[in-house]
Amino acid sequence: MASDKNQLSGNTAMLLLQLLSERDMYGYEMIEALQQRSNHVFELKAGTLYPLLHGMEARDQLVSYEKETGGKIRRYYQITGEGRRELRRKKEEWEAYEKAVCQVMGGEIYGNG
Amino acid sequence: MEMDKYLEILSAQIRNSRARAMAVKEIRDHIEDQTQMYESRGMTREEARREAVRQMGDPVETGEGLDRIHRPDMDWKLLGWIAAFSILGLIIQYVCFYGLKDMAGSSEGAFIRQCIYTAAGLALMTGVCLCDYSILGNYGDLMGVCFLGGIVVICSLDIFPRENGAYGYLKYMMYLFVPVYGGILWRRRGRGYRGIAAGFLWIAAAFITGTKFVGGGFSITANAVAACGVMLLMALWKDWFGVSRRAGLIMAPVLVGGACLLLLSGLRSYQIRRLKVLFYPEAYANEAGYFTYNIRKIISVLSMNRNTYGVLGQKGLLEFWNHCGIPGGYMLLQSAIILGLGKTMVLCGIYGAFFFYLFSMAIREKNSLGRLTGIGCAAVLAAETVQNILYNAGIGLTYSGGIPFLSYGGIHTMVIYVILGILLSIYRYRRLVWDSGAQEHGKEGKRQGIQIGAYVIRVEKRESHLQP
Repeated sequence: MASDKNQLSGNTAMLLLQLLSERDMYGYEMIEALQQRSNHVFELKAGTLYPLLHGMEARDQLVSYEKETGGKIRRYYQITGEGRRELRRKKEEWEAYEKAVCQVMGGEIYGNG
Repeated sequence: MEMDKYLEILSAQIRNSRARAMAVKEIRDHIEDQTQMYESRGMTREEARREAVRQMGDPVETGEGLDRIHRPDMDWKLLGWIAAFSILGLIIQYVCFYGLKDMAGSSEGAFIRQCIYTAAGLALMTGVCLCDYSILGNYGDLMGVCFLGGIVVICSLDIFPRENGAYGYLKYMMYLFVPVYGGILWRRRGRGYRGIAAGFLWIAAAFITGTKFVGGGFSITANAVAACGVMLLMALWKDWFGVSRRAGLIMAPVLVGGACLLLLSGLRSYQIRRLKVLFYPEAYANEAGYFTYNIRKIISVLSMNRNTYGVLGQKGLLEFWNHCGIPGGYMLLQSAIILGLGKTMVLCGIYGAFFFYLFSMAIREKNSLGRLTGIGCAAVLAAETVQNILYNAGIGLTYSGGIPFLSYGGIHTMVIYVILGILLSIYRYRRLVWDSGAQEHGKEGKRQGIQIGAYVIRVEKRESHLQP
């Protein structure tokens, strides 16, 4: 479903922006960091990652630059002011969504017990 | 699937060759990293590579996703601005000059010719816009040598006719040095003080070419040199040369002072007299202050919203005004005479909004070559406009050549549209041109490694095929 796909892509963008708000990274590093920090829940495919990163760069949320690491020239991504604003917006949306789910589900685990 | 096959399918989906090369390199690096990780977990090289490719996902979907993003893009707002300003300029020229009877200097068919120049300029602008401006970065030095060398050769051979001892019709070509200079500076990133010196020497070369060889049109060369100076200062501010920003800022006054000395050295005696004329035009009313004195007299009779052309005759100013060559550089004052000062001030406001748009577009550009070249192009057009407004207001230092969209002339019109075409190209290719080379955003040109005096120590990992 299109809406599901958009939501998934939006949430992934939020996670990537969060990672990049902490430090500049290249693509492979981001996938590794997402895997480790989510205990392998988020296994992002590179085929999904790069169109997302390039799209965010086109929307001025990220800038990229080349930097030499380990003998290789890699393309690093850096969050911009617009990217940080987008991250704040997405966090707010996510918090509202999470709260709504909790209210619907109820029960102790959701803080309503 | 094999890695090469994967990359072949992926690259077949991306239409733009630059985007294709960049995406393939980035994804190849990713597969290599993933392969190394699987190898470290005990897989064989073959198994690791195959698994890494499998993890990439569908190459067609990925390629299509990248293709949707990396397409040339038109700045429709800027194109709209240019089209509207071109039409407005022609309307003002017709209403205020060509459409009026008995206007001295209005030859038959001049307005039609200007319409043709404008249409040709718009066509030329479209052609330039479709070309990838990053060629300036690749061949900046060569283009600079050919450009300045070509002008020197043309002027030295004396094969073209002169006007008042100078190649006046070549003078506007000096504006085209500004985008070339963007490429020249871009090639000097990280070159330290040598890069700064080279940047300054190129400006000096352009100045000498403009003043000593082309001759005439001093203000036009000054505009081009000032725009190049703005670019050099911006490169210093951005620490483009890899020297500290503080050192760059200390150098800035030296550079500006040097540029002023250069400008002053280029002034001829009559131009120095014009400096005095600014303050005492009455004292020079019959010589160097003739224009300034009479322009101020015309301004004193202007009305905010009435046509004051008739008043010029009553005040004995008509003869002077008819000899000014209105279509070249005085269309703003003519507009103030015919349409009133109020509407002309609104027109100046529109120019201000246009340049605000140009500068904000150039500053937002992510690619450093595009940003620098865009600022230079906007600066040279703005410098010409400001100079023209000042001269029409009776407070100009030197005679202004023209003003974008309002001045008569084939070469001037073409050059202005070429500059606008470069600005459109910068926007058009913004998703297709990337900063290359080892550099970090915000620290452009910073050398990698430890710098000791004139030496840089770098530690690099050896490639596997080079290992014994």
